[in-house]
Amino acid sequence: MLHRISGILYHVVIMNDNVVITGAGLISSLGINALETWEALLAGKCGIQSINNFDAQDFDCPVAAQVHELGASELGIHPRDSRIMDRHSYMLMKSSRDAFKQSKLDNGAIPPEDIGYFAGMGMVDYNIEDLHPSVVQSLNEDGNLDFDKFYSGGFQQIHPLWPLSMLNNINFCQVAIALGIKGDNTTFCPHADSGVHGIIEAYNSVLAGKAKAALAGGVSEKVSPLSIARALWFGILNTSGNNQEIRCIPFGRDRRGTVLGEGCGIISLELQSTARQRGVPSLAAVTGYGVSFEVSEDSHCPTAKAISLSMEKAIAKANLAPSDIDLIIAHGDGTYMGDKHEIEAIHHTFPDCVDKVTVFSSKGALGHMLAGAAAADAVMAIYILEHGIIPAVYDSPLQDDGIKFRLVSGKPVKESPRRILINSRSYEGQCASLIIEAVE
Amino acid sequence: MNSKRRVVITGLGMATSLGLDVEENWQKALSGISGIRKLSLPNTGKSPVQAVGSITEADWTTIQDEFRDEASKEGERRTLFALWAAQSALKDAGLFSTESRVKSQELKAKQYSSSKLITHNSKLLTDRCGVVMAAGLGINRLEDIQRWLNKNKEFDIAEFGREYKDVHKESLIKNNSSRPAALIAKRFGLNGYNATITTACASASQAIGTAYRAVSRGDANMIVAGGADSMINPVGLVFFVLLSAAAVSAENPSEVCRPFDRKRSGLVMGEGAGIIILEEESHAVKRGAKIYAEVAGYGSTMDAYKVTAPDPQGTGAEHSMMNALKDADMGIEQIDYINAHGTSTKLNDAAETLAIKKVFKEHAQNISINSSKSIIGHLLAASGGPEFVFTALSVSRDKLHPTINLKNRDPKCDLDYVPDVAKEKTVNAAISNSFGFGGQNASIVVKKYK
Repeated sequence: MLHRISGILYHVVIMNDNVVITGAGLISSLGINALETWEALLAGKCGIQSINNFDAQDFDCPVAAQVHELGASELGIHPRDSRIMDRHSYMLMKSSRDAFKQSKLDNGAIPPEDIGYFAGMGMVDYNIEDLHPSVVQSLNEDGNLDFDKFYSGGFQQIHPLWPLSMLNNINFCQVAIALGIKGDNTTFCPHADSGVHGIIEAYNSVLAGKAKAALAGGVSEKVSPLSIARALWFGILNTSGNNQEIRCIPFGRDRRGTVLGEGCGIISLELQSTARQRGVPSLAAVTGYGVSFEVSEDSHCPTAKAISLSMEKAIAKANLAPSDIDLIIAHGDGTYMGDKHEIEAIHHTFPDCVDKVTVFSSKGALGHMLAGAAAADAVMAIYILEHGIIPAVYDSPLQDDGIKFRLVSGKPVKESPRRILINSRSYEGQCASLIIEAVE
Repeated sequence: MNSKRRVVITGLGMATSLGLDVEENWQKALSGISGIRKLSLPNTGKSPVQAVGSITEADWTTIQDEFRDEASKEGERRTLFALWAAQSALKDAGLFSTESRVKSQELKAKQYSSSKLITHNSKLLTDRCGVVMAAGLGINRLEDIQRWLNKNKEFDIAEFGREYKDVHKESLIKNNSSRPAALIAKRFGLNGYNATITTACASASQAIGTAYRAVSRGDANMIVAGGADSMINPVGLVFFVLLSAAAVSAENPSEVCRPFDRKRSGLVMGEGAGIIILEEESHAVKRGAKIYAEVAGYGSTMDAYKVTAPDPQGTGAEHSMMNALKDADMGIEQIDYINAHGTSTKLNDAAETLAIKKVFKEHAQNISINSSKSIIGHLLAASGGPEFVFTALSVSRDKLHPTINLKNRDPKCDLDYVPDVAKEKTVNAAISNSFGFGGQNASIVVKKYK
């Protein structure tokens, strides 16, 4: 019912032009580009392994789905610039470039002032080694911090450009400099919904003519001691078993929490008419979105009602009915309460057709890429539309007994969905959904 | 697109070094009373930065008392500043009263029905009400590293992995940048659009601009928008010193921040919050809300120049103002006042002046410009919040607060910056500017509501 009630209240915009996707970049634990990731997903691979950039064996969750080492030199980045860059910067640079290139925005036909850029960015944590020397320099004889020492010299052990590396818009600006983007822009932070916000704002910017084309998406934070500790504090990680056993099992009966992933998904958006003029193929269209908020008391996830609301707003915005949705790429992060609420929400929003709804989640294979998660799912939606095949949720788990929809498990299914709904949520109550459709 | 709905400002809320009440802030700003004072945190005697626009101890206590639950669990300064300013703005807009909190708590028990009301006198569809907040980088605590040093003063990662729960909660959870937006939405039952923007010093203006667009295009009827920030902590105090952007003079704190003055030497940090209520026009009119002014347009650009310095030609800033005017469908001669980014750094104030001259040509001479940072300091990610509140009040009341400490004219800054004393001037339309480290720019046009 909700969607019908709220549907009336929506400001109806008659669109005579679609906002289409003309390029996509994706880096993940399973591949350095979108195609590599896609093929690995279809092959049933999983990117979750022991953490590769610090000794995490004493952490309650010592695994993550991390990208392979990616350096400044491989990306042609000047060492001068790389001083303030880190793994998240390189991921954003790589995927943004891939999308920029595929959509031929690099041919100069659209002036830099008319190209927009919107992204969801993860939290930025300091590297211990960045602050460690200044702490050591500022200790008194008892080993405690002496702030007089810190202020009168200790702080100068910190690299003078370190502050820039802590601002999560700086690497975004570095990409803008590298690609020559000067138009409409903003960065959101820090959860999965922020990547959807990036796509929403880019969509509207293009639709309203503020930008002729725009890059949009999201990038995860770098997995670090602090990021693992923060996720542990929020209680979202799987802390059971040893390295080999720790998995992320979306909607599984034995799900015990999520596993962090690293990655970045970026898409290029423009009006279909612009794409035609430029002779660039349209890969898919963004047609709807919805945003909502309500935090569930005592558990770190939104309520089922809020998840329903973002889906229903998206379906209404796209002028569709629930029965028009062929596939849901769920947030499905393998947390007990989060997935429980998403199951309830899907049942609520698709009351008459729940047995016909197909659901997939990428997090079993790619981990939870936080701000990059939904944007990566948007890239995968493009491949699903193009190839007519839906990957299986990794590991074919025993499903939650309460599920009434069809979860793709075991092996990929050959199907040609036309309309895909993507869900995302934070562990503070935010939800955002997106609809991506096939274009003729 | 002619589908834009009109967006009006119906509530204002602030927490700054001048006080916790908007009228108090406004009167002090008009009188040119500075909120910049000597740093009074313990153990900061040797800090290179000694002048800060800090919230007084008494005001901090008032805020903690008001939000006791959140203070005990979520007590980071910026989050509580955000709650205070959001509540003030909602009250000002007639969307909140003390009874309503009781009421919504009662409704909470019945699940799902609590979202119908946030106030006793107005039925709001809370699914259509949202929050967009700006956030900075939070607090990096040196103690968090010191705690895990072993005998050789090396960081013991294994020990940290086993025992991180001891101290890291403070830093890791409270630092989460979306905490202010999440807690405002939770506290006041706002179930719609919810986003957090992190574009350094442009954050709050981009948050207000993003909220304006969301209301304008129909994604929400009302959005609580603005920013809250505080970096008055050890790592924060040296942050801009490392970047050579901070004023480090230790004498006469209230005179250290001098935007557009030839002897300006860098930014002076403030802390606090500025939050506004943006509402779709008919929604506001229907419930008889008082309307301060109308948001007419928003523009944002990127310098794509250097991440370490603004473009000295001010091209990004120029285009940002031009995009905002274009969005507002207004000509350059219609702007009477600019609330400048005016950071009191050598580079910004000269580049911003140049950009204003490039956009407004001869009309630049007729425009009055001020910098709120001269009075309350630079609220960093939040700076666009209180500055937007002052902009809205100037448009509503035809008064401009002065830029204080402007004593020595700089040949590169040769426009009317309203030095020393407030000015009465008819302000039909104004622009509020914010430019972030890295090169992200935002400009918002505010005009009289007619």
